[in-house]
Amino acid sequence: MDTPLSLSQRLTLKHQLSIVLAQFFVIVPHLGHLPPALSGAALLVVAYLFYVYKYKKQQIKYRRSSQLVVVCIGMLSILLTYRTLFGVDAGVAFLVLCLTGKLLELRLRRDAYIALTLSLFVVSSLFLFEQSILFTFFALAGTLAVLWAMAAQNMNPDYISGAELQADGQQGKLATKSLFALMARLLLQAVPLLIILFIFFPRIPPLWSVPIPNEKNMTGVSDEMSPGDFASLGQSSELAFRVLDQDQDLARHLPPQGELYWRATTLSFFDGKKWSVLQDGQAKSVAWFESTALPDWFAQNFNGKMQTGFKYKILMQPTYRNWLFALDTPYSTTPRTGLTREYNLRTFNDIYQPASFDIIELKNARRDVYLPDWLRDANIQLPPGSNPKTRQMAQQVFQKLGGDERAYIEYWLRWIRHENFAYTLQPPVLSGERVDQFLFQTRRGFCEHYASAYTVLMRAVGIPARVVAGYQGGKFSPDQQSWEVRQMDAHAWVEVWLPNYGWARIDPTAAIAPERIERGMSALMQQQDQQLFGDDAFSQFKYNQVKWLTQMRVWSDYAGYLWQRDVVGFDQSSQKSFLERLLGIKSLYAQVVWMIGLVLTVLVLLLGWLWWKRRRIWHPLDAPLQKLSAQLGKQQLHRLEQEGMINWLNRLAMYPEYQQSARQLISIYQHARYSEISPQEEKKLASEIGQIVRRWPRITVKHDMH
Amino acid sequence: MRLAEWIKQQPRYQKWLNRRLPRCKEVVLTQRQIFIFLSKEGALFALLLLVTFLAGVNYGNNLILAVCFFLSSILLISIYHSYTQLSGLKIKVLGAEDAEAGSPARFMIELMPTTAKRYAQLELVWDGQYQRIALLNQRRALSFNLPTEKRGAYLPPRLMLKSVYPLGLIRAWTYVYFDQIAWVSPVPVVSARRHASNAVEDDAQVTTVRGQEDFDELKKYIPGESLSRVSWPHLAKGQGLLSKQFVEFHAEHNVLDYEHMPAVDHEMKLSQLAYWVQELTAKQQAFALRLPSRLLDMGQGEQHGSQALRMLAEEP
Repeated sequence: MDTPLSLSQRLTLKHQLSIVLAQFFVIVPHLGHLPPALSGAALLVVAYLFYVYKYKKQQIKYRRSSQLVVVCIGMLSILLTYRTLFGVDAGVAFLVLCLTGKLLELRLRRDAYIALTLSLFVVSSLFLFEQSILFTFFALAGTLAVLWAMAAQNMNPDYISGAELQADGQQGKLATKSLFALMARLLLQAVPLLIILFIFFPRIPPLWSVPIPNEKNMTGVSDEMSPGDFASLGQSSELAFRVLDQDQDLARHLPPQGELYWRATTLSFFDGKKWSVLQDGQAKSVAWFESTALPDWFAQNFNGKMQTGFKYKILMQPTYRNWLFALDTPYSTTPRTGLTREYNLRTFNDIYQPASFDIIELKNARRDVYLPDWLRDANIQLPPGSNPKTRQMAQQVFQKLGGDERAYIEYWLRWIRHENFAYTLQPPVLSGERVDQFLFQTRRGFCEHYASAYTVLMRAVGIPARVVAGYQGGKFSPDQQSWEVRQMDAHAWVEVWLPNYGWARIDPTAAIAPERIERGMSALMQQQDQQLFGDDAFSQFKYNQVKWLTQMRVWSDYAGYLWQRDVVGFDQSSQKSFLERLLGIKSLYAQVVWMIGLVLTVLVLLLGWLWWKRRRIWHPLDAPLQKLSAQLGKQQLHRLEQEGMINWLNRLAMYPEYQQSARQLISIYQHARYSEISPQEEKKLASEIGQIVRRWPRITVKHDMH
Repeated sequence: MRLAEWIKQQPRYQKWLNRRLPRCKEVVLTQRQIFIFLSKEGALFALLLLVTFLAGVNYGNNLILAVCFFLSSILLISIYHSYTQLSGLKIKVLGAEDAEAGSPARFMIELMPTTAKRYAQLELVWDGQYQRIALLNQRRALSFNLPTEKRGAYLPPRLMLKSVYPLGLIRAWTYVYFDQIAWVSPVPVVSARRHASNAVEDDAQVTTVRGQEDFDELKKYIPGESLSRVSWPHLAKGQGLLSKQFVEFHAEHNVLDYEHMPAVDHEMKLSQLAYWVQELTAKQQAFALRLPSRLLDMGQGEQHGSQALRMLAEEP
């Protein structure tokens, strides 16, 4: 008969309340990515249950029907949002829905454990979306809340009667207090094991492929450049990516700030209003570096020999695209990367979680000394009849310069510099023939305006040119070991193709705002420029806010970077090198042995400590006698459970071998115990007893004497 | 769980258990007696660990792996915590009361910590009886009423003592097999007492057993006599206080003899004897008991009755 009634026991309000309380910590961190209707339903259920259990102190009514309503709302919102039940997002949403439904039927102990185990699933699924320090804290809080609720299921104050509390000398609150003490103890004991397992547990490659989260709202440079895109990015201090030196000496190897043009993508197609990527199949196809031979168009740039420059590593934040950011002519040693025909670095999979890539800058590379016709045509394309004024002026200047392309390029940079142009993030709104309007009327704009207008000027006279979108500059991290590029560094510039040279980078923005390029966007903002943001009070406020936020961001990004590098990114290879550096562990076998050894060590230490805490504490006078008792235990002469010390010693005194010592002990013990003596005296007597015990005759007595 | 039931019924398992946990009067629980395994809830939790591990590996997600490692550590630690809920606990049987077959026998046991530790959330299951101790930090006596079936010596089945503290994921349990007998007397069965008319030593004198109202004579009430003997009808008629003098049955008439019981069956005879023992004890009459193996001399009173019932229980 072992159907313990406890297992089928009904949950009391206190049990239920503890489960509901834990749900706040479980569900709230998920609200960001759940369908709104499901978020609302889940929160409502938790709040309602909390109210009923805590304040109404009763069981809920209409359990079945409310469960049905919640599940229907949840399923509908999941299906409407994701159109499927599979995949990470829909799957996690479904998990949350199951949990919410289960919360409405907490009746038996079994229900409690199903709900709590499900909660732990939900908590860990948080890491499919977020892996930052902040969310790690959320997840930790959620896990602890659930474990606390589990402990509460087994430690019910209801079961502790008043008499037991009194016996314990602590009235009331005992259960709650010891529950927290218990949690603290469990946490303290589990953390060393967690650390050992985390460091030593061998990381294995994925066993099968899994669906990845859907893309979220993307920030950053996109495949289109419409008016105002870059201005809004300019106000975001969010980290775009981070650059590290492969040779660990960033300060020495990093090219000067003015040379740091991180290309993201080329925007070669202009429809008169916005620039977008070329939809041509040839332009979009990627030549993978792993494939046996490099394509001709790439190989012929080097005259047979590559010369490597800066070797760096970029740490990408999730972009939900397959773009990588790199300096002009990149080569990557990371598997599954490649170049498009327009020298844009790409990776095979979209980046949905932080990842790092090794990139080499190729120094002597010329890009496209021979430009194929299809590419030339694409790069002199303009919408027919657009911006007539600009075209007309371009033709005139080109003729005046005698068709000299280099002079023509120079001319326009000078022109922008000397005419009345201004750099601002709050330009007037353009409409109609935008380039005409910008060049000849408003003359106020930021990088996208200048790049766009300049490219149109080039294309107008048949010089192949394209807009490049990416990031320019960046800033050292607080420890000077890495280089941070933020969304505010987003930039657009121009590449112009010259015969016998290939693509050349021209930045018209540098002509008007050289400090933007030389010193970086954040420096520009800090030093100048209220004007950059506009003149009204709100803009001023915004400016201060951006400045302050940027500082905060720098530090939190840095912490996030360390977290990313050492914890989130602790993969097979970093584990291997870390263990080899730290302990000289070279084989997987040694690694597993170390792990098991350390776990056992921790457990043994723990056992020892708890045993030490739990041992019986003897009075100083009794302690040596107890030792004697243990010593005599071999002869069955130990003191019995209920036997008094004196009685036992008298029993020993019956053996002639022990008589003398036992009698001495009796007289000292009686004196010490039953007359008033000072603590010093007591100590002295205790040591005397100890001496007699140590000199106890080592003789085995004959038992038949007894 | 069906598998667990099946295992429990295997004679080999029972034999192994008997060897490992022999019957005893008292036991201090150590690793020898304590079993530890996942509880049902723990099995669900283990499934969670497996899934998070696979998710962590497949997504290459270190933080999900960290959750898995953390929860595994918690599970590992709670093995120890569950173990300490039982280890060092002394369980002792204090005694058992005699019972009548079919009614419960009361067993008294005592739990006592032998270390400076508090024991939390102990659950005791003994033959379907369930008791729970929220907190034990000193000697505590408990009693269980265990159902009996047959006359004779009743040896209790195993007492299960368990604890799922602290998280309910790990169950530590032990079986205590007490070496304590409760004597179970036969169920009384009404019968006419067949007197030893055809027996050797007694002469045929059929005496009907008289009821409570039967008395021989009335005497003057002597102060100090039991008031229950006062004849109230006579008092009501105004005849004064008269005391009823009951017949002192002659000893030979009240020898309850096994051989004289009308039943043929051994157990039935004992049951019929039990009826007479209880009947005569209730009437405060003296009787002697003669059983095939033993004799009980003439006597009277509760204690005498209990002794007689015990003899009936002990009769082979």
